[in-house]
Amino acid sequence: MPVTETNVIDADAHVVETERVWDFWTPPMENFGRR
Amino acid sequence: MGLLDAADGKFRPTLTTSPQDPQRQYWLLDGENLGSKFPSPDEKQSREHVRRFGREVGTPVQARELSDVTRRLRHMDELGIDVQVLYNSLWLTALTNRPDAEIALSWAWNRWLADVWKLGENRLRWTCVLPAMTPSEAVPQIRFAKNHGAVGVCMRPFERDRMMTDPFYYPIYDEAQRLDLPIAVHLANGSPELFKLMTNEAGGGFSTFRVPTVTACYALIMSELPRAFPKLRWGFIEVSSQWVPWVIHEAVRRSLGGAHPITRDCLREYNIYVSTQTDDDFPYVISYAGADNLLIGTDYGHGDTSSELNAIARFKAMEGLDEEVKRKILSDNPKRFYGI
Repeated sequence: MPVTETNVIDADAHVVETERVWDFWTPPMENFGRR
Repeated sequence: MGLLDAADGKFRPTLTTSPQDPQRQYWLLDGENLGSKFPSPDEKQSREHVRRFGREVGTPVQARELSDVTRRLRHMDELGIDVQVLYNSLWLTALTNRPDAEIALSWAWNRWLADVWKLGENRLRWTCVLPAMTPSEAVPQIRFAKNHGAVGVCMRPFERDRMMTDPFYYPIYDEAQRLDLPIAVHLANGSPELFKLMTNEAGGGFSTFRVPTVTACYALIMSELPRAFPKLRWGFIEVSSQWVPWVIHEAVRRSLGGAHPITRDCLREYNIYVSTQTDDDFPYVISYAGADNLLIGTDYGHGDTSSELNAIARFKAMEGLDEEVKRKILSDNPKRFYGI
């Protein structure tokens, strides 16, 4: 980083959702009791 | 990486393959169709895209679905890209009619991208999705996103029966401005009624997605929003930039003699940025937009009219465009817009 002489930013790239997005979330320990 | 709150398990969508077309898969929630799993091109389709349009669109599945973040980073190295700003695929149309489901699924997606950012050596930044039906519930998600690598708040130009300029969304804009996050209006259409109305065989995505997004930019320029949120930055992403002269020309002409005349310099005055395509007429666009409010992207992961995996390399090699202008569009402007 950077891979080029200027810091090139791709302003529009995508992710494609899979079933992993809907896996169950385990909250970090510090969040217990706050939700 | 588990991302949906356990209490929200009832909102977990399932993926179903279309009985008519085994290539098409849909996300379903209690019988409601949330939208299709984005049909990224396979190798054969990618080759056909290159043959017909001269643009590369093929991406490794592990990279576009981010099951292997390192593979994505290596591919960015190959493409000469330091940082990508990631957008969703599923939220490009209305997701669900249920506000509670929209809140839960937005949390899941935003947590997923937070995890990706942690693995991405700070090179994978992202724009958060929102439960647009419930702006008060969007605010904590925007705060979470800001603290986990997000560089923008994704809004659709139309949400059901409202345009994004509606005061209903002001709590979102207020929080984004406070956190110095831009509003990224990616090509989308969150109004099922408008989508249906604009759908026709000949019009395709131009009618259903591009026209509503450009209309929202015009409405933004003519609205009170730039004065109500003077520090907020706005971006119109994946609609090319060829329309910018037309919209500015219209805004100037229609606001003449009014309380708030629009000037030809309105993109700069109102902090509005627009992403370009390599085949845009840059001198013409810059004569209206200036060179300080333009960006460029690849549409990585998709394979449609906008997608051009080699857009960055092709833009860098473009003849007849000043090197300083190229540097602005590739680097300076997106850094300023996204706050990178």
